[in-house]
Amino acid sequence: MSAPLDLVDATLREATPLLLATLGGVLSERSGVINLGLESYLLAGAFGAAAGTLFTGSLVLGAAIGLAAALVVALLHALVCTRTRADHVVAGVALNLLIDAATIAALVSIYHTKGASPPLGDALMERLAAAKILGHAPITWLALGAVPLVAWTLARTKPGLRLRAVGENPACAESLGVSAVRVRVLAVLAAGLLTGLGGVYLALDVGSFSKHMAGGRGYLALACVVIGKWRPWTAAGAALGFALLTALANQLQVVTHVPDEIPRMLPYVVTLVVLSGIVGRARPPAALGEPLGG
Amino acid sequence: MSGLEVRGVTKTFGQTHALEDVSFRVARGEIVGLIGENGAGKTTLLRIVSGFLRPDAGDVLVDGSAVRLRGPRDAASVGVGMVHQHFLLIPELTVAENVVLGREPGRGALFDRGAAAREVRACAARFGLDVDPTARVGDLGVAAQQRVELLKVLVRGARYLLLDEPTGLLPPMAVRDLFALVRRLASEGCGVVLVTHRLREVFAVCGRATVLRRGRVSGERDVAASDEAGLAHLMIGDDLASPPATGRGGPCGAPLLRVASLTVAGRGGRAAVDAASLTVHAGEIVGLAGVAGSGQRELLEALSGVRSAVAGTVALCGVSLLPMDVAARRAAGIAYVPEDRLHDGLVSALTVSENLVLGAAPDRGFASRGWLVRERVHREGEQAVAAHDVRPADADAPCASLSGGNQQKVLLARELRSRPKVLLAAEPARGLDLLATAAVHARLRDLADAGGGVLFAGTDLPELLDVCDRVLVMFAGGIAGEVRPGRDAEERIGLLMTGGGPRP
Repeated sequence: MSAPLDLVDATLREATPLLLATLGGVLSERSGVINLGLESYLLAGAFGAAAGTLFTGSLVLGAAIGLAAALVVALLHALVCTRTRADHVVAGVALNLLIDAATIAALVSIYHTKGASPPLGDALMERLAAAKILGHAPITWLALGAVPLVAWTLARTKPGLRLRAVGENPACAESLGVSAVRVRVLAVLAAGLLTGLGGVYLALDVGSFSKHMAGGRGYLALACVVIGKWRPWTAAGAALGFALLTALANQLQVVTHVPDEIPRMLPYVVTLVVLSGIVGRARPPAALGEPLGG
Repeated sequence: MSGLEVRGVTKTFGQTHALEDVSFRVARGEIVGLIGENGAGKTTLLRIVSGFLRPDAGDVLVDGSAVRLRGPRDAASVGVGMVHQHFLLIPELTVAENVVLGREPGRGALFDRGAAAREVRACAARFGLDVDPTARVGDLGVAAQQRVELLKVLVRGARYLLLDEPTGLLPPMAVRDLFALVRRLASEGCGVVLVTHRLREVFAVCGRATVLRRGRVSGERDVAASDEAGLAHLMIGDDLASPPATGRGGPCGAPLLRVASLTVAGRGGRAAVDAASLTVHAGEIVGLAGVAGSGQRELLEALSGVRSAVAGTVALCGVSLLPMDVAARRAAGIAYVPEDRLHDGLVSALTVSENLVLGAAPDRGFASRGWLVRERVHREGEQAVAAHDVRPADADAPCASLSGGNQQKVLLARELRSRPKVLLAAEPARGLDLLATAAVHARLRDLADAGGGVLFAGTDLPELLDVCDRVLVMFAGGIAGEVRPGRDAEERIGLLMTGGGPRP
């Protein structure tokens, strides 16, 4: 394979979980829930997929178990952020720490190791390779297809309109009979589904679960949401851009020995620049982080 | 029996009786004024009838049958709609999206934007309302935003409209349009409840008036058979000894504050204040009128030092203010009562005493070597609470626990304590009841009588004309003209503030 094709391939592999988490972040934040818990959805999805596949011997069942695990975590997160007056940022960070520790505890209790689950095995990996469409995993294509789907849902559907309304002014939505709690819970569950799928990809791509597997992608996704000014297309563009950068950095590192921490800092530098208002004005949803009721 | 009726409604919040055994009705085709002071219970009553609140006792009846309203949606389904004083709108969404939210047209989960725009356009045309369904609500002016609020109610087929202080923020022209719409709705068989504390509006459109005082109905009158004095007496009882004097012809001394060609940058490269010039003399109260957003706020902020000016000169007794920061200007004799007293004027979580010493000059002895002298701070609070009749008389209460009128008393106490040469006051009486308003006006007059100057920005024209010696009118950032109290003064101001008058 030629070098440019290698780069495209590496970019899409980096981009798949990041894109999915970014889109999840857009949905959640546009409904008014600050989502720092994306990292925990990725971890739950990855662990669920690895353990589920090892347990059932089926990739499809494993992926379903991964999604279910991410949804359970997202439901917990959604209830904390809508039914209590908890601070969204603190709730998200606490959830990340909790799920990170929980996956390690599960590794110890199930596989008697602190580092990583056993590999899926050659038979399953061959089936994964056979499932590729045009050289990429089905989840990668789902991630790319999810970008227009999320954009269209927000702009052209009733749930999308209600989601935007609740993110801007929950009291107004409530006065017209739209339940803000319901909308926010559903938005966070949708974020759990999308991001959980990203987690499933992480585990299946490597062929096992290892601790801290999300590797900060949840935070990076949130940075993409901000850089993309809470809009699906631009946020997805930011995610693709950073995936390309990571892929480039990995390849350059082999040749030039530039430490990869340098390019990895870039997304956060860009985020700070965007938030500082130097490049255009980033206006978050008006009711972002605002607790409901009372 | 057709009509919207409330029978024996009682509502308490904690210890406070917001409403006690209130009965009220409006028939189809009738316009009823619901009047009373702030805190009399008007808004609470409206919120009960429109389903936002549930009464502790009593019934709401629509066309003769009792209804249970568990939310605003229930109220809408029986034909009751409310237009809120502080609009419940989403600035980021379009007009059509705001109007149809909760009952969007389209098959299944699809939102049909075209159908929504058509529906809104048809309803707007039917009632003669001028709106563009595809405009972003945040880009609209106050009057247009109110039309969107009205459309939200009309599209849902409301037969009873509850309007909560609908004229508060409107320019005079828009008030006329609103009243025309209200009359038209009534003639088509709608029942309209108009909540207001401006009696002349009751006489302008209402057939009947119900007066609330301290949560009880203090009277019900046919408007044609009553006069302002009678209704005012029902509103305030015997609390207010004498009506406020009209007009002010105080002596006018040497110039205190001179502003020349002051320009302040606004959003999008536009000047918020455009080469404004004005003078405030000793002993003078100068009004500053204008449609909200004409630059009054920016002008006052630039004078107080909160906002920086681009060009022009500002001099207080001959000393240029522009190079000074806020603290230096305060020391020089500028005091400022900002429009949003809770956000910009007071720190609501701090106590009355603490708020009173914020920004005080260092030589006042509230602090010693960086440590607060609590006793001294407390004494300052006690004195101010007594001198300005703050209720409850507790200097250690957090400002958030006070009513709006008492918060304003605390703010004025702080700003007047240093005996300023010029007081800049933005809407100092907004949202206050008659007694608190009278107290605020008295403080402004006291300062002017003592030889100070006041620049008083407001939107209530009769109030400005009553309190001020002359009124400057702002339009699009500039001073469009000056009006002195007298015959047709309101009309002349109205013309100037909408850009209709001759430029000076």
